Amino acid sequence: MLGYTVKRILQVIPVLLIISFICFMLIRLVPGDPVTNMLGLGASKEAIAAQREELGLDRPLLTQYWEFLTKAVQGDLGTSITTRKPVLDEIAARYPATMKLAIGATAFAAVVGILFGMISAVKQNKLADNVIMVFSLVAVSTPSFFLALVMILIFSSWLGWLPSMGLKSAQHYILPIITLGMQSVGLIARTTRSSMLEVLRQDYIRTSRSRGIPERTIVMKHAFKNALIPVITVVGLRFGGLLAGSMLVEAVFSIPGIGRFMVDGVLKRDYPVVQGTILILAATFVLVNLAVDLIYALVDPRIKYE
Amino acid sequence: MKHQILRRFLKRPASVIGGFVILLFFFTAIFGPLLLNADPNAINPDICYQAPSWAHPFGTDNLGRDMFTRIVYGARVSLTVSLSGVLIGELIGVILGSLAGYFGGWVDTLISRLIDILLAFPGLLLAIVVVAVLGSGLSNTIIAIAFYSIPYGARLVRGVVMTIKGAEYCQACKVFGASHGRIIATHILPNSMSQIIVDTTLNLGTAILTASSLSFLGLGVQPPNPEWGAMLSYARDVIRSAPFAALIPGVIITLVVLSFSLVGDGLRDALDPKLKNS
Repeated sequence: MLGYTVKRILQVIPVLLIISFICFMLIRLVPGDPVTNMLGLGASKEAIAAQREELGLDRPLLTQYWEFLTKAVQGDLGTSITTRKPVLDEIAARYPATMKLAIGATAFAAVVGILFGMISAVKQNKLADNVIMVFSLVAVSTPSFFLALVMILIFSSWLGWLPSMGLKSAQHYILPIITLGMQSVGLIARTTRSSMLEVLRQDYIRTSRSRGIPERTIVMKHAFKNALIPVITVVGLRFGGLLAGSMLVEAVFSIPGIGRFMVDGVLKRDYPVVQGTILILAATFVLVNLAVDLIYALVDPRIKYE
Repeated sequence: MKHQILRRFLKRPASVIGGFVILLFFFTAIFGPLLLNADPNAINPDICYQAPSWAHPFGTDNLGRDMFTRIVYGARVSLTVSLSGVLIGELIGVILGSLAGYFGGWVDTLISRLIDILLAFPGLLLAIVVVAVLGSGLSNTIIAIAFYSIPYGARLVRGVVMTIKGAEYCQACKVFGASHGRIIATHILPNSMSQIIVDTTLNLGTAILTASSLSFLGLGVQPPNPEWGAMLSYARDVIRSAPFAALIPGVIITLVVLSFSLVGDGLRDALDPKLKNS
């Protein structure tokens, strides 16, 4: 297991380096002069000179990249043009909200999705299965920003049960988390169903049945554990998608998260913010995938010998 | 063969209904604006947020524009953006995937790493990276969608090509002296076609979701162009007083995306029955 862990960690390093290079190039790829793009045409000469100095545009590209990388590793992601505050501080203030949403939505999607998938598999081709599969398909196809508005309309406006703005109390999390997780509920339910059906067809399940073991024990103890392996992958992959998807939910529920910060950065052409947020989100995504792979190897020992 | 595929497809009622919705979507996008002959951007401040009526079947929006006309023109925008984005992305993906799968070695390593990097970004984030560099707007949204479709197409075709190139008929072509290009174009690609078609159909649904998400955030197709996601974005401030303004474009996006999934699933079962339930 140690060898496999080291190997996977080593594989992640080049990916992180390339992501950082893409973020570094971002400002430089924008058509036109990067500094004028960042500060606008009305900027003073001093401000332009200071920004040019900070970016080090007159030095060779690789030197610039090396500086960007060493600064980033030390936690210096530059200064926001609009707020004049360090980008990392701004991100640190917003990161927890987005993480809580993404983690909450992943947990919600995993619990409901796995439950739905299991019911569907056990009741294959019966009414419950059909209802769940139709629900999953609609859930996957509904844009989260639309679902968010529908949820606000029903639970906040009509019924008055739940708040629809910000993240002040635990209640405030309910609608954003359900909204963000709903697409994944559909995906996880479909994956769990097909994985369970695959396992339930295996010989050892038939043997267990012939030995008179109760169906409940077979499903819960024997089939479920083995069916879980592909589901873990999907859950892990979804987490990254939810991290990125949170920007839509944050926009609708007025949540000060990192996604909304990034979108504002793009709209205001605040490139250090765009660079920093993309770097942090992509790095989180890669590290979560690494964690999923390692958990996967732990659950299924066959993986690490491949 | 074609009859068999059609028969298998028609056996799934859900896919057939999805197919009808998609045909209607294409028809609306292509002929709708010609048949309507109305200006989707005609402003009338006296009738802002009017509920659906005979005169305005889908109601009016924040500037008193007719929502039905904007939905019809919006279909054209959605179709243009998603279809061109996905086709460009798939084309590049198919070329990269074929090269990687066919030649193997360092070509494969290089292209596979590129696919890994692109996949390392969640789809919407990748689209935002492109928009951050190029700016918002219709053509840049297309490029963003193309970018994000590349890795999926490439990965799929690479896998298919790797299985097919070892087949005896491909080996036989090599022995007869056929060039690499000829083998890829006449033997390998036609055999991967069914999977490419299924993949493209499924990607179209996702592309419509991404394009409308970008517009909803203000990063995609810009006003006053009628775009479904942008229409929802204006409507969110009046969700309590004029819910129809958000519900109508929202339901239409969902319906079209859902139909692409249904047709994609149906096509997969019809074109390759072996893949069924996989």
